Amino acid sequence: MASEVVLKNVDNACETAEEFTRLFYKQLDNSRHLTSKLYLDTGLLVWNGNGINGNEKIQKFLMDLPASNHVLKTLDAQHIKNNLVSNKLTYLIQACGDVTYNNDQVKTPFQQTFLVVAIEGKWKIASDCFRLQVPYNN
Amino acid sequence: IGFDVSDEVTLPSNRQWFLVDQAGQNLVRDFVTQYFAIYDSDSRQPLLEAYEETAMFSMAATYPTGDMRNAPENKLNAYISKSRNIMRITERESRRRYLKIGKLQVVSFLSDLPKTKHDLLGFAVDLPVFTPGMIVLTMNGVFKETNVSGNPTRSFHRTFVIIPNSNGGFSITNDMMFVTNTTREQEAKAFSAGTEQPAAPVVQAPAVAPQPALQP
Repeated sequence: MASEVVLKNVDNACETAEEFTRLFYKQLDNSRHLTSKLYLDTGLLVWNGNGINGNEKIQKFLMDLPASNHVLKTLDAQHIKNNLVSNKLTYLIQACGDVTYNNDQVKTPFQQTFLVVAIEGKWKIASDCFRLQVPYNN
Repeated sequence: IGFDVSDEVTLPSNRQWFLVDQAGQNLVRDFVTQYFAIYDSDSRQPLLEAYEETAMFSMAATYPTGDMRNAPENKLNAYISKSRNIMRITERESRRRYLKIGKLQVVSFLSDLPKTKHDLLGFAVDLPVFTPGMIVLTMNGVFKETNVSGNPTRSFHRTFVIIPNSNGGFSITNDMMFVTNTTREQEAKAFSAGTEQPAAPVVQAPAVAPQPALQP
């Protein structure tokens, strides 16, 4: 039987994931110039296998992507016991859904996994792995 | 009179592997090869060795949008019934119940899922965290169900959080999975590179400095 503290973390991870993804995709789709503020200064974005390191480079990379619209279909979250940044609460968030670019009609399924850490009362993305659901073998 | 805007969607090209640190390459390859060798075998029980005592696992599943295929092999009942999609599972009590805590619970859950064969060479693998205290490994790929008629292929996304253990090895503390049906494109390419060789990075990942703030 899991302890009260563990259960509290289970609930919090889910509620944080809901709030975080609501904000993240709203910004990415509608006010992308603000999105990089959600990442740690040293955060990492891995976009379809391309690694972009640091908040400023992430901002530039995101601005160069075509306009997007993300619709979430599933969301899941867990807490991580070994905190990534010492003594900072760390959650693992998995968000999956469909994305369209440039108001195109084609919906492509995507899967995205975030590691978020609580830094001075704010949730920041330590790493973000985004993958479109397409074949990757050459 | 219209505007001069291009409708063409051009996205940066994909890379199959990303490693935050090249030093993680062998560990990742060994982990993926060994984990899925057991996962794809007759019994998943030996995976008990791979998980930490209080490891966590959860899975979310959904049908592809607008997928009209309705054959029995397109049904995802084996996954949807156990799916912890918190967009639908909104009660705290249920959210707790659908999260598996403890390695016995985790492996028992995994053992009840359909038997599989994964397309290791087709895996897209990302290693975003590689520090002495913690490794995060995420992957996308396809597998075939081997004990279901028609041997349907499914698409998955999975993340492992791995920490060093006291025996000098590594243990999984978090495991999170997403399952859906493959797209036609994925189905056409599934297992096209063969199945016998171990997973290996096909593309050299770019060298990216490890994240200083994440060093323990």
